[in-house]
Amino acid sequence: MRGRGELIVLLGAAILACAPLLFGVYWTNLLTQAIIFGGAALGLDILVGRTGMPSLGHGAFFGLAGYGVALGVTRWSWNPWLAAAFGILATIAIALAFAPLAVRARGLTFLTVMLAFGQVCWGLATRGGEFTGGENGLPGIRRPSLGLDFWDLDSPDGFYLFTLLVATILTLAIARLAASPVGLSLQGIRDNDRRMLALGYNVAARRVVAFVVAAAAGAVYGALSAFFNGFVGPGSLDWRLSAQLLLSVVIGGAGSLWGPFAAGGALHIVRTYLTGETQRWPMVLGALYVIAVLVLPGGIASIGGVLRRRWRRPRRQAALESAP
Amino acid sequence: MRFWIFQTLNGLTTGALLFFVASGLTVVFGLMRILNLAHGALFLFGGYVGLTVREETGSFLLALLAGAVAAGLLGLAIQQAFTRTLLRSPFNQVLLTLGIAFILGNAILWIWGGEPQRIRPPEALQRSREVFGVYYPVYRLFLIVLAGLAGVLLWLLWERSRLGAIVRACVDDRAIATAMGIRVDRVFAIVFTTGAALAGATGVLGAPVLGLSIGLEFDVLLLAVVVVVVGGIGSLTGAFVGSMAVGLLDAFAKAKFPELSYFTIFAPVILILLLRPTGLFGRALE
Amino acid sequence: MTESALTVDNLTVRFGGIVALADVSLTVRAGSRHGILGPNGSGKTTLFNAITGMIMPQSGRVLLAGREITRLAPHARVSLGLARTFQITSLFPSLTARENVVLAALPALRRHRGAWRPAADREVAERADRLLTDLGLSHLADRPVVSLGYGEQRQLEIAVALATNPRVLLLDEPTAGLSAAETRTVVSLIQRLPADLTIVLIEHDLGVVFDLAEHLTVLAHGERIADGPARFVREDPIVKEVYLGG
Repeated sequence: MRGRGELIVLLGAAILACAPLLFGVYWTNLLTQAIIFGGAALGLDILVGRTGMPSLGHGAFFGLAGYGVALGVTRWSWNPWLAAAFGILATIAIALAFAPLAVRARGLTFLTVMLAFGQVCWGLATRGGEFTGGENGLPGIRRPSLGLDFWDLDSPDGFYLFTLLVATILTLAIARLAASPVGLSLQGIRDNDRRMLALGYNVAARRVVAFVVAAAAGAVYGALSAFFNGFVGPGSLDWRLSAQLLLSVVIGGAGSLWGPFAAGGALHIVRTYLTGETQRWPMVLGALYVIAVLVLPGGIASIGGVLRRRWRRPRRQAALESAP
Repeated sequence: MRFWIFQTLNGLTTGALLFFVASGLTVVFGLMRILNLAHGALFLFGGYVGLTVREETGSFLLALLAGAVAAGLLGLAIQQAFTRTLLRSPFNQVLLTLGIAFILGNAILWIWGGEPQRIRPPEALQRSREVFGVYYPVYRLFLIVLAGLAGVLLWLLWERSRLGAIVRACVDDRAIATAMGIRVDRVFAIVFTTGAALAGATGVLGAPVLGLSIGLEFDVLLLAVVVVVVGGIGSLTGAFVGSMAVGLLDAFAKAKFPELSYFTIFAPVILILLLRPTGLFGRALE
Repeated sequence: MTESALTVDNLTVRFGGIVALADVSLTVRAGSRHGILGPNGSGKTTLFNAITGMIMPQSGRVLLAGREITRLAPHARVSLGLARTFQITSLFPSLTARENVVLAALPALRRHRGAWRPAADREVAERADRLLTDLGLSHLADRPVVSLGYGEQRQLEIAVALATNPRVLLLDEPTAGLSAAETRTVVSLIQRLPADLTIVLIEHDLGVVFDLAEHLTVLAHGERIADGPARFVREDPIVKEVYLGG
């Protein structure tokens, strides 16, 4: 079972790695962002889908890491690798400090606590004046260099493949965590936390683990996004980004991991396409959400089950009708 | 001293508007465990309908009525169409109501355009007058008084009327209420529609102060959600206290530490919720 | 005198002014099948909750194989070999039957901490499957609990309790709400459990109690009114009057 999951991730990565051969710069860049948002949604699924803690503030970790990178590169003129390490580690440290408090809340209270946390970060970034660039954000983030002649991160293809590599490693790690005793216990906590306590699990500590893992994934993708855009602004801390990530998890099928990845990526592509095509894109996007709930309440990941049932029902009915 | 009085009045004005929006949200939430993220869009929709009526007829009262009726009817339609889907899972609630909010927000942009608009306050209330030594717009004073009156009225409705007793019974325990023969679905339709109408009316009432613009629906929604959770889900008293607290905090923070304005609202929210996860006036649910 | 697997010593539990258990004592011999009888509200589930640490008694002691556990946290008692089932089914609904058993087994095997190795490695998975097979539930292993029938869930509940590797198993009304056929299945399942496992069960169905238990304790209004071998307690005039409606 486990070997198969890893094989599927690697196979998917191999297929995606061929994309630059088939598509031009526009699509390569779009796919880079799709992987970034899909990956962040997959990370969030550990917290939302597996542990059952809906967060409407996850974009904060995405944005904080981006700001960390931007400050390092532009304000303090650090090497981009150092800035990336700083952005990601600082974000993980913040998550680690906040997690023990945040996981005391459940359900919609947790959702609101995280919303408030996100708004605090957003407020500090927009009102940060010179330091954070305020409403204008921080432009001029240089990308790091691998020091390899054949792999240039400043080229669209090079950065795409780098993003894909990071996403593949991270996804394998998260999938491995999900299948581990800790990963299984997270699902147990979601289903019945009191029983887990009685069985001898440290429920609070495991909620912290889920929180920090999701935040760390968000931070890595936030740093990638900052390098990709060469810029961070308050938009990366806007609650709408948090909403988009949460919606990706729901549309993809909470807890399925691959569903949120697919939904997060697809949602970004659809959104970019609609924004270019029509003024009415929020309406179309909103309609998509509504239709998604009505048609696939279990998310994209449930599509297999739904189709199987559709397929079986007529046959079973036929069998009943042909019975004497 | 005048600074304090002035900002207190500003805070109470914001608090008054928040209370109108949050009261509907909190009762729907308490009653059916449904977090309606389209509530802000209903608020804005009511405001824009009021704008048109105000410009066509010149009457503020008619505008207020139209805003309430339009938002109420739309709320009823949403409630009738989607209640069963909404009850299925909290994840789907977020997805569905946010989807509706996006659709409605964009429809408003389509119909009324993107220019920020403002509704003129009623002619009788357009002046300023002196209170406690500061000059203050009469219309804003009217809003504060109205919030006080509405608070008392809602409290009476909640605590003293038959409908209030029924709704409270449903909030406390839906299963027992059903067993007692209360038609919870009908109660829910009434409450949802009333909440939507109240939001729409607030859109009109708030327009002379906050204006009308795309994006306002989410600013209002976020603050209202915070008020509901901090006040305690399903608690009207909590919604009132929470609204005034957030309004005052917002006014003083914006005036004193503009660079920290979001921090000063949301950091205390985090603190309160961590100390009292059920909110100030809430009881443990589920 | 055989050794005592579980001893309850003058246990008293009060909720506010209400006395739920008054000075109750009982001794469960190792390997025995011990039934707790009593009308609704007589304190049976309260007794289980106090034994397993879900509530703390005001006075008295609980001893597991001679070791005092009165103040231990519930999970510490689980690791000492005390397991229970619940009156209301208490499983992990979206997980499969096997995953339910694995989750319960991991702490007992001290394997619940890793974040990098698979939860159901060969040894754990085999153990879970053996347990399910022993209880005749192997055909349910890959089905999520929500899709199981109520009777199947009650049986799985016993499997989950056994997965913690207990020496003493407390069963809280294992056949409540089951049909006659399902009740027979569960009774035979309990009869097939290892003989060295000590079982204490609360049961309403007198037929079930007399089928399973060789020793009975009868509670009424939080007090112990009878205690002894099943065949004697059955004939006790006070028990007949209070409980059997005499």
